[in-house]
Amino acid sequence: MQVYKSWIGNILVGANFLLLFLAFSADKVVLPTFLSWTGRFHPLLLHLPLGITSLSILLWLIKKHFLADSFNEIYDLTLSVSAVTSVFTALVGLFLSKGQDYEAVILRNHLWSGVALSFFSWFSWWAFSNFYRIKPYWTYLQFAGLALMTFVGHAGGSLTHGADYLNWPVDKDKKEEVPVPFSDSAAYFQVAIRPILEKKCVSCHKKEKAKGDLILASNPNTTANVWVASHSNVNDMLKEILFRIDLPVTDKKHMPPRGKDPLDPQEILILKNWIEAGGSTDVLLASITENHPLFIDKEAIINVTSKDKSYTFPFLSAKKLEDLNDAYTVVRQIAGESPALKVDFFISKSFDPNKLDKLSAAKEQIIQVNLSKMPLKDQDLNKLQVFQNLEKLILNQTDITDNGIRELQKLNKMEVLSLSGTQISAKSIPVLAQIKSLKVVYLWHTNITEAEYLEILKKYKNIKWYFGFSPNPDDILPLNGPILENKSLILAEKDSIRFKKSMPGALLRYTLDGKTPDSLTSLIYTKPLVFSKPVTLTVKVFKEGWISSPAYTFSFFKEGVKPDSIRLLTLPEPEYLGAGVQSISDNNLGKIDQFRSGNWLGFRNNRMEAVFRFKDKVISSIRYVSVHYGVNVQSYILAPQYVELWGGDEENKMTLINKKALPALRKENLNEVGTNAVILDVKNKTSKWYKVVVKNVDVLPAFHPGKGSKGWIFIDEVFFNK
Amino acid sequence: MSNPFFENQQHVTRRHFLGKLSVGIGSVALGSLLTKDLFSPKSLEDSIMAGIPHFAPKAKRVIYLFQNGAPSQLETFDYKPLLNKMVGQELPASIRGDQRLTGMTAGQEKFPLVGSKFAFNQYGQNGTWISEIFPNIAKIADDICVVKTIHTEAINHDPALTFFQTGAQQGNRPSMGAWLSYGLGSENANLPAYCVLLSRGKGNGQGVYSKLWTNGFLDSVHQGVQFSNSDEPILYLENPDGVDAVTRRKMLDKLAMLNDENFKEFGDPEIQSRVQQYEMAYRMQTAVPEMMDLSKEPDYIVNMYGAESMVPGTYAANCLLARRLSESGVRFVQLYHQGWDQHGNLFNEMSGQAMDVDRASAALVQDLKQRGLLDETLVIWGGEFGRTNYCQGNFSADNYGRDHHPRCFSIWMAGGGVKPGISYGETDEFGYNIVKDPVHVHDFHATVLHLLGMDHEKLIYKHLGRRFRLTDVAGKVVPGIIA
Amino acid sequence: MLNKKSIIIGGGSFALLVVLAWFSMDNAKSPQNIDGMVDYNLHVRPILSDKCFACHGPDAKARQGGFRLDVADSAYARLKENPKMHGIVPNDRAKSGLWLRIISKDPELLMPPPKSNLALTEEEIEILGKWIDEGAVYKPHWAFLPPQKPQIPKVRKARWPKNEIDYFVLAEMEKRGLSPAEQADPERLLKRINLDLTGLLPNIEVQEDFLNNPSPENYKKVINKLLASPHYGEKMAISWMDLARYADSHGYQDDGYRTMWPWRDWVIHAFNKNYSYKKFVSWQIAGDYLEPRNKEAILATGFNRNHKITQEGGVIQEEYRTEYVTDRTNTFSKSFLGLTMECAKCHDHKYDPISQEEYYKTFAFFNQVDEKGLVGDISLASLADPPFIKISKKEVGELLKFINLQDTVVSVMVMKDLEQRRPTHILRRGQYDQLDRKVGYGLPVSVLPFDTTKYSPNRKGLSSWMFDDKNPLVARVFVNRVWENFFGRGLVKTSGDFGLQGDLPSHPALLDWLAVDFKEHNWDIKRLVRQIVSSATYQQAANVSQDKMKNDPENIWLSRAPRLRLPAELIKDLILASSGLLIPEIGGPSVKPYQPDGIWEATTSGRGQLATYIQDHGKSLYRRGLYNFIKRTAPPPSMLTFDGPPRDQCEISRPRTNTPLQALILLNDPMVNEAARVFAEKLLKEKKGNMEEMIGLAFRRIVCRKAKSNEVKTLITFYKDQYQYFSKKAGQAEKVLNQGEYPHENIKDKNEVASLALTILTIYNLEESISKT
Repeated sequence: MQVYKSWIGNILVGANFLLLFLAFSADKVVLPTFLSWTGRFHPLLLHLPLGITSLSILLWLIKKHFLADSFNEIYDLTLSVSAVTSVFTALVGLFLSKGQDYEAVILRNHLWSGVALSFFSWFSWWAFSNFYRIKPYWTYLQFAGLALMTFVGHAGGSLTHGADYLNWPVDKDKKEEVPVPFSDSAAYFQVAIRPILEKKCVSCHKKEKAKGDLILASNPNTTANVWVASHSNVNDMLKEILFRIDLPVTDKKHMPPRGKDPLDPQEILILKNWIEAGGSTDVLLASITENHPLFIDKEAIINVTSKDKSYTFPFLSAKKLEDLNDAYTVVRQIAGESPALKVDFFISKSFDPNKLDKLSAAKEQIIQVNLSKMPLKDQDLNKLQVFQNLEKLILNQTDITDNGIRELQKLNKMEVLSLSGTQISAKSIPVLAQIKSLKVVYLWHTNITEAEYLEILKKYKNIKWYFGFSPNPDDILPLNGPILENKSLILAEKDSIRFKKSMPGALLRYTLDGKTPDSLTSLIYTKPLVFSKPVTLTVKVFKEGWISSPAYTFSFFKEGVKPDSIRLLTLPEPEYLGAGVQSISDNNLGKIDQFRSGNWLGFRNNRMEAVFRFKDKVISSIRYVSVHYGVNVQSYILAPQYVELWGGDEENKMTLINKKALPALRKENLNEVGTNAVILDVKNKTSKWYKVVVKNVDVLPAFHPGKGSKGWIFIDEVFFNK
Repeated sequence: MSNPFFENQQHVTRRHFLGKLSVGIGSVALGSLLTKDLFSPKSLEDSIMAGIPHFAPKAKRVIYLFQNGAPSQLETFDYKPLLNKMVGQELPASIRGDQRLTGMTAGQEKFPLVGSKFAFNQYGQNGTWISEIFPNIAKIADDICVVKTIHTEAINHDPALTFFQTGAQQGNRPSMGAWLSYGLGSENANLPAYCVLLSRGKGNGQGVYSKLWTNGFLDSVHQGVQFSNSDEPILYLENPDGVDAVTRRKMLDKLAMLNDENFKEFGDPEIQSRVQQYEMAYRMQTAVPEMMDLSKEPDYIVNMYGAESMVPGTYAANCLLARRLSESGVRFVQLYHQGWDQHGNLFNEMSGQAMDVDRASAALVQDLKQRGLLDETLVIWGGEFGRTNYCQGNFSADNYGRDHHPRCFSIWMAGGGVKPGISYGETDEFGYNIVKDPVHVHDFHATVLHLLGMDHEKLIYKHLGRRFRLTDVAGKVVPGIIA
Repeated sequence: MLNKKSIIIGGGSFALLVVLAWFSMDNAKSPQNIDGMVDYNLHVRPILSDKCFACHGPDAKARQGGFRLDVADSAYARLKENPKMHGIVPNDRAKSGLWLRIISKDPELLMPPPKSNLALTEEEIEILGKWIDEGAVYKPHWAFLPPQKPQIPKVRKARWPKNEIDYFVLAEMEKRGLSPAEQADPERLLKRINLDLTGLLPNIEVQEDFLNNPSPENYKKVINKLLASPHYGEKMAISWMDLARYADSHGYQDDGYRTMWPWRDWVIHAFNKNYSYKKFVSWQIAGDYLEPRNKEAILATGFNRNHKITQEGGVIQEEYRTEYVTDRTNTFSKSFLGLTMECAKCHDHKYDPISQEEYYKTFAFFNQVDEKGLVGDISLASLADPPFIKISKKEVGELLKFINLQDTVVSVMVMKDLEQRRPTHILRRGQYDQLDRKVGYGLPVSVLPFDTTKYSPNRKGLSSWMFDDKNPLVARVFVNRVWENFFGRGLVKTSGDFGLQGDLPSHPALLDWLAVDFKEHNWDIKRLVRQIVSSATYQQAANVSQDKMKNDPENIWLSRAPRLRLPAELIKDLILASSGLLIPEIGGPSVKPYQPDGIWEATTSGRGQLATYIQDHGKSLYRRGLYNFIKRTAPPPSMLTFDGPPRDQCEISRPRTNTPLQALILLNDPMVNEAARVFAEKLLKEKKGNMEEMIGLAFRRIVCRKAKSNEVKTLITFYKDQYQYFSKKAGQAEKVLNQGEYPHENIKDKNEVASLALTILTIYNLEESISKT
């Protein structure tokens, strides 16, 4: 017995002296990190003296129920323990206080009262067994101790939770849980503004700190004198606030300062609008109507706050979450901070309704499910019932019908439901209408008729029904032209001409005589077309209920016989040399908007004269020659004046075989752009050598912007065809 | 405060945490001893790798309808009757201020003002001004938010475009889509997270380039995947002729066997992950045809988007494709439509361009909405800068052109947590300067990231010693356009 | 009240407690896992640089609270905000403001501030504390001290090393209780060294030869053969082209054709001729000054004209000219100094001691070119904007034999400075039109002062500065990059950043030894390469045990050979070569092989020569990967997918990703399928042995080792399945064989060919085929 007493005694002496020493030399001594770390125990330890001291008081009050001796032992023990715990709590408390910026005053109170308490309980232990004269006053002594302890506790509480922590009766934490109700009698300020101030500003701008002499703390139950500020004029101060929260974060004047919890965008917006609206603290919600500047804000705040989205259910363990995911099922947190989950299914082929059962492992957390396009059947819908927190459900283009809908009724948190592209009919509407939580339902492309739509809209007003697009019979649209699949307009031996329809169910009609196809008589394209000669197709697309497409014209050429050699007798303009002379017989046509692409030869100061030589074995096969040229009248590029074809068995003994002159430019063609060809028959004459002469227009007509000057010709290909 | 309207993810400093806790302080203090980093902020990189937003997102996906070449705000959304009154008069020097000019108009002596040849009308509950070239977009006025006060620094296409897509005029920074793919990962692993669809109108074109969808210094898995304008949009996706699914499956199984063999010998995890990539490729081959399949859609989807939607490579077709990709969980679908660079012949060219995009753009928004997807999909429509309020080149009443103008221009956004049916910001009556609520490109980026649940200051990547952001060192979220 | 006894005991225990307290203080100080002194460069600076310098570093404008932490004096000085305090009080953490702020519990005081999204770990905090206790000694950044040749370290396992390199590597391994892997088996070693030195696979004969005699002597012979091969230059050129941002188009929106390929041919030539790194680089930097009459030297300066050039009408000339100079400056610093100088373009560097002024002094060297921001828009685009040189067939015949010229003449952009020097200004915020004060020529003093009495004030002076013996970076940076080319990871991991934010060298001594040795031997590149591939380190096997994977997943300590996926170009080479399609011709204009339709057409503005992709035919389809035509605005998708850079800007090293799109390409790209088909046809034509042997042969040509029996079994079963399958489905085989333009061999049994082709395609898709093992 005595042994432990003496030890406790000694420890108390040492500890209390150390406490005293440190308390006095607090600012001079520098604590080892280890000790300041032990400081973290303070909040833990402090409960012990609290409890035990109270216990000792209790014991004292009921001591008559004990045998004197045993009571003395127990009582003495409790006192000693409370003394020891007190002193150590105080010590670590002291360590903790280092390096924190607690309000100096409160800290001092807490510290010294703490020290006092420690000494007090030490004293009372010692006194109890050694200082009998104090016995009569013992009870008072104990209650004094209790008072002291309360004070210590209060100061401590104020440190960690701010001065008003233990204020009676409204206490901050409680208020945080229940925001001021949106009764029309409530002031906008109380609902919208003060919460922000208290969350983001008060920590520095309260009585104890009052940085920049600004105090935004307020007496909770009055809206009066919210501000105590250096600014005589509240409006100036509001302007100042407005100015500062709007500065870039990097700016020194920006509020809240860097490192502090910043205002988020909505908060800024709300403060700004409020201040701009006059910054009154007592406008009542009731008075904020349609055209009041704060109306939108009010609406926003009310509708968000009224459905509080901070979820209370627990996070799903990362491991479990991982197990729920596979290549076709994606289960994700909606946000890092939130335990709520969102589920998407992909690739209908791999869908298996039992996956839904597997998800019940997260039945609490799942708030959104998207099953679009999955082969989900009516009988699978009951699997969804386990998801009691489900808010949004997307069932677009699933196989569900009216028969399944009833299963959804139990989802009494569901707010958004999308059934677009399903077989749902009007029958389901009353069923859905019974889901109280439901806000929006999407019903595009279902079996609900126009008439029923209007009916529903009238009947069930509390839900927003959205029926989406339905085609308007009067708005008739133009069709697109056909899509030519051939990569090139030059056809090799067996090449066919292939078109693709740009519209399901459309008819593709064509003519070979350049006439515009009509919807009745013209040829219908059914399969790839094969021609032996060059051909020009005019194509048009028709479909019931659509404006037929414009007519499109395609001129096809047959791949030419390759000459053995080619030579230019006249030079093209230097900037349009193409890829050399080869480019006019490489079976490659140029693009009309790319005269520099290397396919075109451009002539202006000379006419084109090119000589071609052929191997004997092919010469007999050549039947006609076609010269392919480009036109862009605005940029001085015109069709040739004429084209000559010369031929012979020796280069210097060629004779004129054929010549074609082209009509002069007409005014209505001033904007013509395109390509075309001149075809010259060889008139059954076989020759080793050919010469092709293409003449450009010498003088542009008066109605052309470049009147008087020379015209250009651009040649991209000369074909020698069978 | 547990009021979600004010909720915004912040680092929980010790004191806040203790302040919030209802349980005994002691136990918390104890907790902080036991689990050391319970309170210490978790590393940014970690949270990014997790591929989940910083805070509850408004939008989950983005479809960006980029109008390449810069459509004139004055003929579309920014109604300036004064310009019609003052046609032909000189732009007051006071208005122009120190604005630098492109090489194309720098030489010009006169700057004659010219008003829109297209009539304007007000649409929707809030009377949004929209020009007559967009009859269908006018119909969705209540779903869109027109921002009239976007501004940039660049005055030429390449830098302006690059700035809009990567947050920097020069260099090879990651593009918006790449940042999102990096920050949010892909919703559907069986498709690329970031797809790029290209089309061209008849108007004067300005090219696009892979730098606009580059991954920059990010991993190249975040690179935008350029789709081809054919029936097989994803390059190399189709098995070669004669190789059918059966054969392919057999081949992959054998491959896996052989690779595992090799893994046993080398123990290099890269080998296994290669096998997984082949499996994912195989899944992609099944996912894409299903995504492309229109059989479950009503025929009148064609009426909705217009007949062109059946012609691969047109803007309309790309809009329809974009909707399908987005619906299938593609995080970021980027469209580019060329041909909006009207230095001259503005009237005809813009009419043509508008024809290309009006119906399909509106259809896209409406289509998303009727599937209950608009609220989680952010649709953006706009170009890289605006056009001058004065005429470029010789001025004639019925044929005019406009040069590049960086100081103000209009874009619109819809869905994904954007405030619907409003116009944001004001320009002066000349449509030259911003007088209220400017939105810089950086602010635009910050806002888009915010809508997707990302704090633009926290979505960072460390490269060559420096931490990079899409918003570089600037950017403020624009609360006014957030619902 | 108190008796003596208890006073004594009490006082005693009090004293005891006090002592305890101080004692506990001491062991609290020593951090868990740092034995011995903390080193500023090794332990402290990485922390400060990463977490503090952004606001307390070199950048005066961004500095917070006037507190600068990267130089001793200002760190020790009184704090501006709180003159009673000092930032750092050496040997006394408790009095150091730094310490108090980083341990503060108060988010307002805590450093780094929570809002910065940065935080110090417990360990980092302790390191800083310990550093202060030990006197807070600052040292200059390791990379800025000229390398000294270190002693070859002692090692226990003395039999292992083959040359100096191995001693350094082994020493580090032994420190960490790691032991080297055994020698790689001959087949894999042969494949590895062939790929590393030429980028091509060894053919069967070579394989046989080495397999029969894998002796060190023979290995030496192999090395010599490969180093002598003209393909060595091609392999080395690949990474140099990344760094030099080589491309075949001008790069901005309207993306016209440019002919820089003769410069690329020169690079290949220079590597093959084994020009010393000094000559190689100083010609590229200042060939026009060093040998004004030597056209080859001038051609080399094309390096600095590889940057992008705009052709967009209406741009502001000066804006773009400035952009080009910036690009040169950044490329220079990144590729030769391993510094991210671009950070100092708009403000002083945030981490490295490089001022904005120094940036523009360096800028000045490249600011003298006689060029314009825009020469002509796309409609009058040129293949080479001035200044350029024309190279004629004649010159190629005589002097520039290495240029594979097919036309009569080709023009190449080169460097040529103005007669009248252009003044260089500091540009505020890096804006071309925000001229600040004028600056002369110079370079970052912290690296090596630019002594104008010693060097001439132009690019010539610049090159002599680079190769000054006292220059601490140039040699280190290059050997590190070469090392990276072989091991996939530099000794300094961030091979593009040797600055304060860069990683520290894993083997500092080895790095310095290599650098000095490289200099001492006249910057001889082939010698350096030989050293590396001759080392035992290089010749290790790539197999990795579980615990090595656990202890050293990144293989930092090189206790095994790396397994790396091949770069895009080499994958193409491998497929073409093994199938016998490869045309080994060197150099010449870039080629346009198969590419999916519409890649160019969809992106182009419709203007210019490169608006449409006109695919090549014939032998151009089968050239090596490095000759693929690179149009910057629409690079070859297959290259991008395999991590090839778009060549927009200088790239030091490529990432190595592993994606499904890569799988799709290797399975479906016509190039691969054609190769498989042709390969199959050739095998069946030659008919060497039965099907199993043919498959074995194919396997060996592609994977470069004999297939294991069960590998062959797997493949042959697949083959047989396919054969049956095709026999059932008439016409299917023909479809499969309809791949590519290469003429068909006439073989009757199409099913046989098709099945074999698919089997070969399977082999091409093996992970091992496209990896260096």
